Amino acid sequence: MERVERLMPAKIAAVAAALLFAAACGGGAPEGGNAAAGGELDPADAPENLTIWVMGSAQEPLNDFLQNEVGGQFQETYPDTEITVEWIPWDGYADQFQTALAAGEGPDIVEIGNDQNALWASSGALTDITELVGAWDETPNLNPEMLEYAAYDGVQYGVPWYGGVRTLWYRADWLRELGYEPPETWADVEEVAEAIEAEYDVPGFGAPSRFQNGLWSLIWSTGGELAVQNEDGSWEGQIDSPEAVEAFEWWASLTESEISPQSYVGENELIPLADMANGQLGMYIDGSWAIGQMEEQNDEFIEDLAPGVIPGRDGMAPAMAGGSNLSVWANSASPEFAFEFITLLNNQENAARWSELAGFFPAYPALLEDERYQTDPMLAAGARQMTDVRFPPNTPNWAYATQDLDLFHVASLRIAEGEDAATVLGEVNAELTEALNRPIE
Amino acid sequence: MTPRLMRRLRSVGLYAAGAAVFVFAVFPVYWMVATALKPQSEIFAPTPTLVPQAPTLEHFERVLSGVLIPGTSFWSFLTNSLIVTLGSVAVASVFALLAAVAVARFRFRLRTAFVVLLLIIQMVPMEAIIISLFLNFRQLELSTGLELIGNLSSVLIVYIAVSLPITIMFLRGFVAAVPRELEEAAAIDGAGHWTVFWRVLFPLVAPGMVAASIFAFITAWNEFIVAFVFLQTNSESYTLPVSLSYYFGRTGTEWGPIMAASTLLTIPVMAFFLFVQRRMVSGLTMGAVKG
Amino acid sequence: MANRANTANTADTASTGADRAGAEPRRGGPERPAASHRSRRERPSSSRRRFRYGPYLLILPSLAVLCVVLVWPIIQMVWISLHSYTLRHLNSGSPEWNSFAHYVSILSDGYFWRVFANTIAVTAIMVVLTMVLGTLVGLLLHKLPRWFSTIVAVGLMLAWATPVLTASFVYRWMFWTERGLVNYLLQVLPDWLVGSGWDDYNWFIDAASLFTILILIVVWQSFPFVAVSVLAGLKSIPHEMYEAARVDGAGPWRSFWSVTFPMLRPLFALILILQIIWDFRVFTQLFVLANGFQNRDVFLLSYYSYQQGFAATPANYGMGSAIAVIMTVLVLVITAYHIRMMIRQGELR
Repeated sequence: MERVERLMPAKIAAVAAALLFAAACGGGAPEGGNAAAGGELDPADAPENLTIWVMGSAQEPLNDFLQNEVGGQFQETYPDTEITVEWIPWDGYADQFQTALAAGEGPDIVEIGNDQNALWASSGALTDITELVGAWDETPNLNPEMLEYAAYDGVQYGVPWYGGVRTLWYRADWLRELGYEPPETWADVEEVAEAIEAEYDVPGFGAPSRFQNGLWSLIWSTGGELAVQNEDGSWEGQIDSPEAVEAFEWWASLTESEISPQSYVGENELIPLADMANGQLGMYIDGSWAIGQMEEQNDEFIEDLAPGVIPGRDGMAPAMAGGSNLSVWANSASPEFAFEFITLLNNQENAARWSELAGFFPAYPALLEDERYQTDPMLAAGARQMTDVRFPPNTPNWAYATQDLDLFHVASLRIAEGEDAATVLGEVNAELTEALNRPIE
Repeated sequence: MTPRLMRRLRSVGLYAAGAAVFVFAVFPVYWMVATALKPQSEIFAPTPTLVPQAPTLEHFERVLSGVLIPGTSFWSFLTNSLIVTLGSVAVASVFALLAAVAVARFRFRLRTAFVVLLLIIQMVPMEAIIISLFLNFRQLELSTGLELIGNLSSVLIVYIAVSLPITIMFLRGFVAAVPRELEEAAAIDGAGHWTVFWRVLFPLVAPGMVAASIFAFITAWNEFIVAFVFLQTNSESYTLPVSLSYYFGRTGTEWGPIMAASTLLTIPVMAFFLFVQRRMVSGLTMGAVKG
Repeated sequence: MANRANTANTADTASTGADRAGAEPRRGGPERPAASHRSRRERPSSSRRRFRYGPYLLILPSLAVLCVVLVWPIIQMVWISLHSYTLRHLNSGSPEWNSFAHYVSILSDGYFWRVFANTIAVTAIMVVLTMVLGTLVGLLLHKLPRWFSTIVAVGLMLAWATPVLTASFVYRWMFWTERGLVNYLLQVLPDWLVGSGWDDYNWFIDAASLFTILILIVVWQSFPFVAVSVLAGLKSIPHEMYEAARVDGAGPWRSFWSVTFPMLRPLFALILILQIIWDFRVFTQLFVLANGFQNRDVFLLSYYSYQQGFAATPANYGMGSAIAVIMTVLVLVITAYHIRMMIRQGELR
């Protein structure tokens, strides 16, 4: 359910700023610079099949792009290799990864959420591709921070594929009629939501309680932190701070004051997504990629939807720097050819196409220079949001704390059900600290 | 109140209770089909409609056209389900018949141990051994090179094993009921063991095998967790229940397609069930346990 | 288990001695005609020798499959539960003996005991409701005229035949927070009867409300089996027995306890055991209702074991197996009496 909830390590605060700077300095590589390793590989050795696991639900255009376009390009050089694309739902994907890993099966190429890289690298699921990445001529053009976050323990396990941030989806037609700009502060959200409800008789804003990395944004917007690492390498949770308490309280207050429906308690963004698609909701926060899913469910109102930045306490909130890497699965029988496919799929031309189709941002700073990221209203808000992004702690235990123990939802749910926020967060923060310090075998 | 009026009231009460039970049992199934036939807007309407106002097959078309998992289709899932279901029923019936003959017709040293084993094994929940079964199959795959995980063969063999104990116990009663004199008469006429088995015993227990296979059929057709664990890495090998759970995971709240897919999964087993229900009951209560 | 098998085996060996010819006397049948004895003696000896291994050859296919799929994994399960064994051990290093560490940590964990207690409570409620409802419906079917009882029975078949996964989806949809039928009906009903605020009530968060749906699904799917079995049993009771009870002045309640129940006691015992086994292992329904492994409040033992073994990161096979061992022991203890009865009652002859 965490769809694009992945992170990059915490050292650098503003990827997007870096993206833009890097874009200004670095010259883009020639397009189609994908053949670097290709010269060394003999097409006669190519495997009969390469399988790629992509996260999310199969949307026809995306699947078509991977399967036919990129697959077709690959077959120009390696005509005997068939490309198989499989879509893995975020729900319960860990079962499937682990089953495949244990059974010695699985794909050749796999999409790994950037905040899951440490987890799967430490589980032995990914191939060390340090040398291959070093030899690839596009590597210097990739965003260096994103590249670094695809490494764990000094070993490169992935190549950044795309970045993504959450945005505020709103009904542009309604806001226009009511004379509002998209809200950027919490107070504005409440005001606009109430106006929508009064006028159109649908809930103004959707605040599902399972809203993990959206909650991180809210905490950051109040000046709070998630966790800090001590000198000795141990971790300490920070979500019992007054700033974090304020963020959780505001989110829960939206349900309590009936701005957001009670029925979203216990749910993730998929529920407001469906309501938004069906014209039953005014605003909610979700990734830029959500538009494709909404269109699949119901395209009646799709023209009226527009994205804005994530509202913070006093203005735009920092977003979690989401995104995915492309990695070579540990059990791949032909890792060189798998990487060869990655270099093709993630060359600048294909990376740009993919980002456009899927509603993401490419991992090449040069591509972000493209004019459309400023002028296209569907992209501009995300591009602006990309200028303020943050990263959660870079440890395999972060996935344990947020996935297995689901601590942010446990806290958010209890507060939404009326418990005292400070008490709840005191308890949950203790659990968070303990989870982050769990020994890594 | 006259006794006659009381009898009237009593019989009206019985009918009403019977009708209530009927509605309780049937309604969810009805609601599944009704939802599957409603257009999206009607499913999302604030006031639910009991009967679809504008019935449509769009959800069925979407499920059947198979855009869910690229490279696969409803028909491939159906084929997989049929393979594991019919395959496990056929193999389990044959194996069980052989074992039933052994248990019902012979005394041998390990006979009692074998029957006790069957009894105990029936009690062990499959859900408990799924982890070690998975690791066991993994080991088997590594050491022999057999294709098990992500392949229908793993599920097939598990379904055979799961339905064996109950099928053996059931068939054993049938075999025991065949008069030994018939076999002996055939043997006097010079028939070999195989001929006796095939010509005399088999025709007499064949109806029992049909009855016994019902249980195996329904177990295999409906089974989810084993198939989910062993097949999830390879979407080409999904059985219908696995594909259905996948559909659910993908769409979450698109109830129209989910209900349409559920209906499609339910129809075959329901038809089969109604067809054989009498035998089912006697199979479970008499055969399975009383032998 | 080994013990019991051994004793039974000794007894069996003894009786085998009495009938060394290798064939069993027919159960309860007439004496074997002498002719058959003769005919067997006249068989060529080669055939007899071949036949001594016959029964083993006959059970071999079944035994082989059962060993691979059930027996060996059960032994393995115990072994795994005694070792530190996670996903990481699969690829590097071998599992290490950890001197019961999994059991120590589980049994001293309040969370485990909560799951344990929930499992027992939920199973007990399911079993009791299924038995009571099933029996009542069985009695009702017996009282109804044939044509009507056939209609109702066909309805019961539909509930019974619905695949578990499908049933779970349908109930999830009926109880769904938005546009779910149940919330709509509760909202429409007068507030003094059912309270208010149902229109957006979420059934799937709290353990109590989620378990309510779980129990409902399981009872809905299991009571038809009980009802139809009881009906079959009732038909086998001679009518005169009820007549006699009525002459003695017994009402329906008393005649149930003095005639029906004693007559059907073995049937009830059997159904009860089957229900316990079936309800104890409930997994798929919970898998659909909880929709993932994140809501730890609603775990039952089988779910907890699966979560540890497959969904936890990294997968902890040792811990998952320890929970599975506890679960298996529990089932065997509950059914031990039944197994013993079956062994005693000539099940083995």
